[in-house]
Amino acid sequence: MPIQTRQADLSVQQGHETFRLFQGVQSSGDIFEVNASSKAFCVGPQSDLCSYRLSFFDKQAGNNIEEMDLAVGNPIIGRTDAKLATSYPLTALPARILVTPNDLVDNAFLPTAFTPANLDFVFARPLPFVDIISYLSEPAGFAPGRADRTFFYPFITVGIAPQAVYFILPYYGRRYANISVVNRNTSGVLDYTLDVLGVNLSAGTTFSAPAGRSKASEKTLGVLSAAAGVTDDLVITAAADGMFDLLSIRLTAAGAILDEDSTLRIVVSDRI
Amino acid sequence: MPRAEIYTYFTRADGVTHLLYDPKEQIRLRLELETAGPVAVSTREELGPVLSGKGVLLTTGDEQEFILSLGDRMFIIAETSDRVKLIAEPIPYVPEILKAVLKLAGSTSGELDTPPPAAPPQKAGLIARSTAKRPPLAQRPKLGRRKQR
Repeated sequence: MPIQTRQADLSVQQGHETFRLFQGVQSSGDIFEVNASSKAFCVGPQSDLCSYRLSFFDKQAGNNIEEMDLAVGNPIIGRTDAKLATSYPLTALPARILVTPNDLVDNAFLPTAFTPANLDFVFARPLPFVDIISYLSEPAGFAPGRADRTFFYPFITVGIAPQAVYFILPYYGRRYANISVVNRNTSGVLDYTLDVLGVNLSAGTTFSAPAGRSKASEKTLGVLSAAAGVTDDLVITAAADGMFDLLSIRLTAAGAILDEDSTLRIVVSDRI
Repeated sequence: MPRAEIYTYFTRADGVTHLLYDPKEQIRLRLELETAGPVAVSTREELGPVLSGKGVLLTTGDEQEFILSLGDRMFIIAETSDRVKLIAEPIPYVPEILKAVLKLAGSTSGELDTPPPAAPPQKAGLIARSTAKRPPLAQRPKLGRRKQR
């Protein structure tokens, strides 16, 4: 169970009408707690994951634990009780409301093409965040969905081929992405190539090469090419390309110099 | 002069009955649960568990009103931390009204300045009277007037 910096009972004592569970996720096994009853739950605007499971005490359920799924666009309405003076069966733990990610999270994932011998490195891997809003009083309304998220890298560092640079970004449940690269070289000696992969994680590790990596399915979504002074972009949609847990962008450069003045911008959205 | 009390009560998440209000006179107690609850209140001292039905559940966002006489006590129980808005205001009763009437009539008698509150119903013989009974007004010695020179 991760160390939780925010507690619902403190929100009650501070007079708030909502409690926001907003914290980085280390693994799919993370369990977060809500120790005050709630009138409704919804996924918050800055959630990177799209589906969660709520567990709470209910005498009518098997093992006295009831479970419900909470997802983007599917709030849970109605009182959910936290019972701190009651224990979950076979444990001495108070019956708080427990929240776990339904999505798989692997913050150590590396794509199949990642080659340590080429000195490949991961330039950016933002930590996925859980964002859940618990309404302590009657909700007046719900957020319509997650906010769009922009990943912006103004000074990307590019090695000379065959070295590759990776950007591994959370894409859980998103339906649209726009990837845009700007090559600000003017001398024309450095060309960029970006290979974009959609990744769906799965449990376990691989036995075949590269052995020991997290299992995942990878699908090539497109390639961007940006010669010096050129901008290129790529649009990915759920209807045309599918839905993925992660986007993996592999950036390689052909040329003679290093460049740190070019930019990469990725916008992901729930709306097409 | 009795005064109203207004404050926020935070419940303890222990599933144990706690005293919420012990009135010193007849009052109108208004309670509003500001959070999800469940929170139960009752004049009974044994309330648990919260959802047992031994008390009355407060409803989030609704103000609920209770009349408490002297001797009644209001208890509360919860299993989570909750906010309860509490407003207790005294209800004027007959001796106070009578006092107001006498004042209007210009009476200077101090007999009704501090009317005794209505005693709670008690079983006879349980509590011994600690003070002697007050003599009736007619038998009291009259205060002499100072002689005027």
